[in-house]
Amino acid sequence: MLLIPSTTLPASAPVVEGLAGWRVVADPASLDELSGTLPVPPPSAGRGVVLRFAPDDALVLGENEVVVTDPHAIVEPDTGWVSIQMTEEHALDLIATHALWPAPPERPVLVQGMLAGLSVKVYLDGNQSMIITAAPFGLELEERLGT
Amino acid sequence: MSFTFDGRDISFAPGDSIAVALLRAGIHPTGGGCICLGGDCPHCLVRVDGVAYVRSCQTTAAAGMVVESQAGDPPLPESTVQAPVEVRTVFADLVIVGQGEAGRRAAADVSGEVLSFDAGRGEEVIGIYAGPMVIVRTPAGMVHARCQRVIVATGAAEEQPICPGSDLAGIFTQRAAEKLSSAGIDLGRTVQLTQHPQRFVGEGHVTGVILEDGSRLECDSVIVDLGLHPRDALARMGEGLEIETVGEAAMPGELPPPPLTGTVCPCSKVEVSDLDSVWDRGFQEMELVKRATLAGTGTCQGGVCLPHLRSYLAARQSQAPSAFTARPVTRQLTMSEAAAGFDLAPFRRTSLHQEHLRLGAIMDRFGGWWRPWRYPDVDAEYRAVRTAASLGDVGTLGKMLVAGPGAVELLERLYPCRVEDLKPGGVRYALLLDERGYVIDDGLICRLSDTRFFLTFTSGGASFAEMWVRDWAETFGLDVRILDRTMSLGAINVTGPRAKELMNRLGVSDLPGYLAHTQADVAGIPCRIIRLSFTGEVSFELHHPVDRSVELWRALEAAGSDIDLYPHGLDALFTLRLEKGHFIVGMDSEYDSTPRRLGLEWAARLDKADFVGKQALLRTNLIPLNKRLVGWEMDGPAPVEGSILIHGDAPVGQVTSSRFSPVLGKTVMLGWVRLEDDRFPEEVQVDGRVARHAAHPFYDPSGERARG
Repeated sequence: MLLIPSTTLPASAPVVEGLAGWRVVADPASLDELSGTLPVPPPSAGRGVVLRFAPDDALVLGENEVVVTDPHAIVEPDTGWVSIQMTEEHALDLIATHALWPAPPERPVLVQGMLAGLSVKVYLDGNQSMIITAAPFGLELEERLGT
Repeated sequence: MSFTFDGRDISFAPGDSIAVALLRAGIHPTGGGCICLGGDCPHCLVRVDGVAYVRSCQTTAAAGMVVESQAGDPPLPESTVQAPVEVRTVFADLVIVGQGEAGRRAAADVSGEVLSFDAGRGEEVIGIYAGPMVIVRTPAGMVHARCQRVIVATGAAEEQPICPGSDLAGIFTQRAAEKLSSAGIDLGRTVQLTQHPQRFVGEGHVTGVILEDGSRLECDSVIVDLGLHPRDALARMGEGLEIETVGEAAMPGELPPPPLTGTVCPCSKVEVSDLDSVWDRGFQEMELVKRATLAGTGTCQGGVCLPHLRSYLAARQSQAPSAFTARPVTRQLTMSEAAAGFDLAPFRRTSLHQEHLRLGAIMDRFGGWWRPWRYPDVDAEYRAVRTAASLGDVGTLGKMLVAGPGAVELLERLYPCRVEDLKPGGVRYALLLDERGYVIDDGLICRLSDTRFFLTFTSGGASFAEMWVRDWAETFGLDVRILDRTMSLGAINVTGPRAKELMNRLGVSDLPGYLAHTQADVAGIPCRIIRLSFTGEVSFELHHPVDRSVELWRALEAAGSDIDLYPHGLDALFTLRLEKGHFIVGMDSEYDSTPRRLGLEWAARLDKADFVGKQALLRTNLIPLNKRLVGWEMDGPAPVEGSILIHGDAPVGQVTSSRFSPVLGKTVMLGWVRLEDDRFPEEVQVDGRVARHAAHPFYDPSGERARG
């Protein structure tokens, strides 16, 4: 399993790459615990990152195994996402030209919304920024941002 | 430096607008009409590099420009494909439109993040929309500025003369004359007017002016200084928005004398006589006069005619009417500029999309996805399913995991079928009903464990289904976890009389029975194998991680290379499923389709505890059945889907699905039929031919083939 998003240097033409991790749906308290045990981004070698999509929903990257205290949690390997790696500057430029919402000032930060008409999650953190979307939208995102 | 105007080279000085350069060359941009050089009138409109309605006074001349006069309606652009226009969305507390003195003062007086735009910098504000959102054309592209409030400091426009001869060349407003003088352009003998004249005289170019007292003055040019009126169109289009008008744009403005004759609205060519005509017919309010004459609806959006229209009505009423509502756009906009930032709704691509293209599939959009329609030999596709084995991409199906101590109760209360008695490893077909008992989706319930289920939904219904399940889980207050797996799992349907053999070849010997499922590796790829049948043959749905789809597909292809394996697309699938009489939600069902109307009473267990839609079914079941979806068969080719069913002379229903069945040698259909004289017709006319009611499934009614 690919643990960490590619370290491919940011390119001017966006290229989507597969993203693999663990999807965890659990009670919010156990996800809070999980977030507490894993470092806040940026991910580094062998360290995971929890991208919290919702209080009870997260995508965990960079971990071989995920354990949560919620006995009824759904923990599934998930390869249904793709990402475009880029610099924060590039991501902010894409937000300005393809989104109807402003980028928040906090760093690192995960924001979710529409970009170029597609549902995305944008992770802003310096040179490790990335745009994430569901795999079925991957090529569409690449085409729309590449024009 | 030069550009061309109607093929003629026109030299220009640095900073010249196109209009100034043309006037320096002795050319009136439109042939005649009072020039304002303020962007307020239509008298300098030209085509620039193919773009029509360009205000030449607001456009800086550039070397190589192709400028053409614009007489009448401009032709449509030759090319329909235009380069996309870049758009940036920016955010601010305040947007100030206009950077004259009032605009600069306003900017100095406020705190917070302020954005300003000014036509003098090439930033033309096109309109203000709800938000407020200010749309601006800039040299670098479009800007969509979202803000808390807007200050309009756009100044005032100069009044233009309305009288015979006002369409001659050589008439300038005071400010225009000053600009031309600064540009070193000699206007010759000039006459300066501070009152409206009786008329201008000349042939194409003004040579004299007749004053109110009848006296005549000879001249080469006339400079009119008739007063100002607020340039406040942007403020007037923002009714109810946080918009403040300052400076000259906020001044009341004095009304000119009412026009007596001549062209009031040069854009729409509205004469004073036209105003008289609509007034006499009862159109006596500003908005009605505007609509009846189209005055104020042209390019300048009332820049010339508005004060004169108000004056005309004021002279006939007790008070001056308010200005009419302004509407975007205040400046011409190309379709590319208007479309900037607009994105079409996307269609998803399955993890096998490229594989389908490799196989030569004709792709089509269906249920929010790109799907293979044909590969392209639809006969081979059909034949493979009925006689050998075939692969179908069903990764578009909605897929969901539901887990938790409340999972059983949630599904029992959500679905009209029984759930609790479903054993782990079991599969049950299920309808999804709304509160009115209408079918909104269908799919499978696969039990994984006591507290864990895998659900499937239709391709087009998946997003709604997720919302539906989540909403009800919250409403019921049940302790469940829900995860939509639609985008994360691919699915391949392996179907045909040799499907089992194919699965065995890939190392799966312990295959699930009909309506059962299991987790197993297929060609080394972890799959949830669900045994069911939509095609009417033995079928296994292989749900697997999307990143392994191509690998799995190719392994299946390779394993079936010697048994006439051929993939099938939607076209073949629609024939196959119709032969089995399977309906498709939204295609065969209508918004008010109950299980009873669909002939699926068995799928709604009214003897179980309450479920969504149960009370509605209990009530409506007391009403005699008045329409139902039934099977039909007929000889000859299939009629067009949607064809009307005629009984006697009366339309009694319509065909929802219609295909010629190769295996049955006749056309089979599903169609809605209404109760007629207390009975459902057994024979109807479709396309002038006889169609007979027929029980479905049409093919393999006992289901032996599907059960294998």
